[in-house]
Amino acid sequence: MTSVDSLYNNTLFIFFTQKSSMERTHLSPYTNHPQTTTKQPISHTYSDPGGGEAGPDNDKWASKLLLECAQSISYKDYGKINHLLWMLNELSSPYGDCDQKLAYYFLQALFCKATESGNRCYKSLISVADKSHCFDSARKLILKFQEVSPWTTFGHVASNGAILEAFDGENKLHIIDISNTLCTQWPTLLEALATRSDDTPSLKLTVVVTSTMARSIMKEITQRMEKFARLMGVPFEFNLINGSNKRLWQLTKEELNVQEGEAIAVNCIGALRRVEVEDRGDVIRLFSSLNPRIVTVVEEEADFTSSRFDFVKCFEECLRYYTLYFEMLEESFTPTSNERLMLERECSRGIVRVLTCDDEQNIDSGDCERREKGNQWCERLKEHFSLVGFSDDVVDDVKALLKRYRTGWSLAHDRTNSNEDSGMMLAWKDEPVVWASAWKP
Amino acid sequence: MLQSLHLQHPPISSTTSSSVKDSTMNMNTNTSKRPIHDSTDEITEFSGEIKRRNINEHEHEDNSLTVEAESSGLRLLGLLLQCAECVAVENLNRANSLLPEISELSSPFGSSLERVAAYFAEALQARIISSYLGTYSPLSIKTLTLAQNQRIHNALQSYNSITPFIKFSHFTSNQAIFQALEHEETVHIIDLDIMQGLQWPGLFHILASRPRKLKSLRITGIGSSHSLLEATGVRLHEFANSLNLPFEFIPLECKIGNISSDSTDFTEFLTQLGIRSDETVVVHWLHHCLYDVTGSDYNTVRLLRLLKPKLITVIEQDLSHGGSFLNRFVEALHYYSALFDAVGDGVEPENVERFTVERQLFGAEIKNIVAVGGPKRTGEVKVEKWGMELGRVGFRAVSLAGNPASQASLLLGMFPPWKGYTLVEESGRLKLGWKDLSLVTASAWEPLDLD
Repeated sequence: MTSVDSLYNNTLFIFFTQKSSMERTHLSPYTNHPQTTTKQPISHTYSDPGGGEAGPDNDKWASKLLLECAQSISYKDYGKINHLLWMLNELSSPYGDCDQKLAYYFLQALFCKATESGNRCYKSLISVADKSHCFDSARKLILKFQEVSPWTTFGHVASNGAILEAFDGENKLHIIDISNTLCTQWPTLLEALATRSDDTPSLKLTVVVTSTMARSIMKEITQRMEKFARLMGVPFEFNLINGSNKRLWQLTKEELNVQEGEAIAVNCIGALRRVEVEDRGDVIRLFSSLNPRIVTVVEEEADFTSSRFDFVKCFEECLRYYTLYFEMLEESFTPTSNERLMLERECSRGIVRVLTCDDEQNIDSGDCERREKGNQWCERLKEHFSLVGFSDDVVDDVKALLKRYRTGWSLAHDRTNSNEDSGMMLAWKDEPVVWASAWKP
Repeated sequence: MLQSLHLQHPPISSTTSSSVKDSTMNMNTNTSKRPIHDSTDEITEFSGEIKRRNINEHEHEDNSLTVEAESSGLRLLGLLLQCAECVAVENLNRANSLLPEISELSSPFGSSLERVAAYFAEALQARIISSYLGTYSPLSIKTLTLAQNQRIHNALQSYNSITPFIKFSHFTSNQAIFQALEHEETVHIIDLDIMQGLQWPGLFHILASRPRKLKSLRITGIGSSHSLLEATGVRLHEFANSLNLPFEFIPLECKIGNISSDSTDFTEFLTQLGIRSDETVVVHWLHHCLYDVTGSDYNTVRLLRLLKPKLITVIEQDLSHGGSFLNRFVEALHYYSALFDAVGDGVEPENVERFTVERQLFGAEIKNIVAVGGPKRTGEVKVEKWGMELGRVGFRAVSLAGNPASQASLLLGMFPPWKGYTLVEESGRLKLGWKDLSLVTASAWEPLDLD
């Protein structure tokens, strides 16, 4: 029996007779504390059960406990809920190994769910993050992440490749960038434009920022990008649009500064998932109305959408995805990395949002975060667009990119559409994690 | 052989023959219970201390950074205290709402203050949830697993190399024990929490070099895991054999306070501890908050009174665990701020060894201190200061000034120059601290009536 099992069994009796506390919506302790049933008070103290070198004894204890807790919440088994929350509380830590971290962040979400305080918790997490982030720290974070992992650069390289090919021969280029990458994608594209064999085209870059936090730090970007373009000798115009205080699909051609004679590319990196589920069709229709040469879509491979009314199913998928992500982070960064810590905290916001916030309650702050898988996005995009396969050159570029990182990264073959090409899939340890695709009208 | 070594001066001392500062240096021992009136008072006092101790930390940064760091540091402290106050009055909603900002401002890989705040934030989060669940009934857990013990041991080894505390406790108590055993030949040492038994080889060494040889040396090692005790026993045997000491190890898997102490069964109690009537008994205890050692403090005191060992050596953390939650919290915050300063001094924030020590040891202790019931996780009355308690129940202090003090000051002068650490001798006790805060006190006790 593992030590976790043994802790579970030893503490079972305490929770056995508890009445429901989850009906309360305020956080307040019991007024009548459960009696100790042992005659001799013997103490239990915190000690670190996981820690990296945990043997087969404690393997994957976190997902077992977390899933059981989620199930208990859906059955409203209050005694069990309390017991599992207690266990998770004892064993978790935000500074431990993967199991402990997952336990910690998912425990927060489960606790919010059980106390129905998700919306409040999320708002507070967002406002705190907003206050403490600044351009320098955000930029440093993104650049460090790109240095140690291809998670984001994969999408950049694939999209840039497709965009450049679609823009071949065009002179007036307009890229509408709907992303929160702080423009880290564009320097390489600008370089490529500058070194094109024919005349250097002009580039207008319209950046639509959707994430609440990125908004406050984008102002600094304008100067940098203009400077870089000047350096590259590319005639450049830069516009910044705040895309989150109105629904994204409500943006007009005028607001996006779309003009006659422009070759348009719509670049959508991790942006579609931030749109409310009901609005996604409208956003894609908007793209179509712009008559772009190419639309590049990059999204993380997870489905928090089809299960959004089924708490346990959604929880399972969340757990699966974030387990991969946390493991990837742990292997990519050094053990004492502040950047990894910040990325983990970012996850906690997403987890709380997806699992505990009531979508119907019209949350104005923050983003939706309900990811969909590549094949799901394909279904949506097919209504207005058709898939463009990535050329061999682009695939080679991506493969070359992956070689620059630690082992574990590969291109996975998408098996769902065996006949058709359906974009490129980045895989980590053979698990599909990031999906990139290119579309034309 | 000890007396012949030249004494070195620790960096900050005045030159007395023992090179130990006398007690007029006014070291803050943190033993008084400070009434918590207003958190702003606390913050001002607190931040003043932290500033004083951190004079060197921001020396090389320009002024604007220092000001910014100071103000976010103040904010962090303020939030921590506010959160603790809320927990103290069970306003869990409000406490919980303060945590996101505290977490955001803190990090286990930052400045000393950011790091200590990170662990206190983690502990407060755990505390809020357990308070909400209302389940802080004490309960037993079978053992720490072997893996857990191994992790603690590894962390302790790192702790031993980056701070002088462990060596301090070993050197001073071994010296005191050696002196107490001057005329004795059959010796029995009871180590209330033996762990890996790292202290004892040092004592074996000096006992073996005595002209008057020992007839028998037995150690009863108390611990929570039989397999760990066995391993410790094997190791100690090997060492003792290499020195030709007549050694025997008695493992005892229990907590000292749980041993039945019905006074009519005193002989049975002696048998349980493995003590023979002709032996000279020494009891030793190195304190920590990683887990509960005594089981019942009350019983432990009682047993010690009955046992009347020739000497009791105790190394205590200068941290009291009684009193209200808020008092405990503020004291601990003060204490660990100094400790984090000490281990972080001159070490880059990304240092993995320091992180391991902070997380496996300090973080675990902090979590236990902030938990309901404190480190023992029970509501039982706890002894606050063992030294003082022993003084109350029929023991008197044996002064550690003299050779134990010399050993300690020698240690501080030794390898990596432990600059910043201060050693003070006060009423026969030895206190080792960081800058002006005493963190650990070593004391020795003998029975008043030596019949």
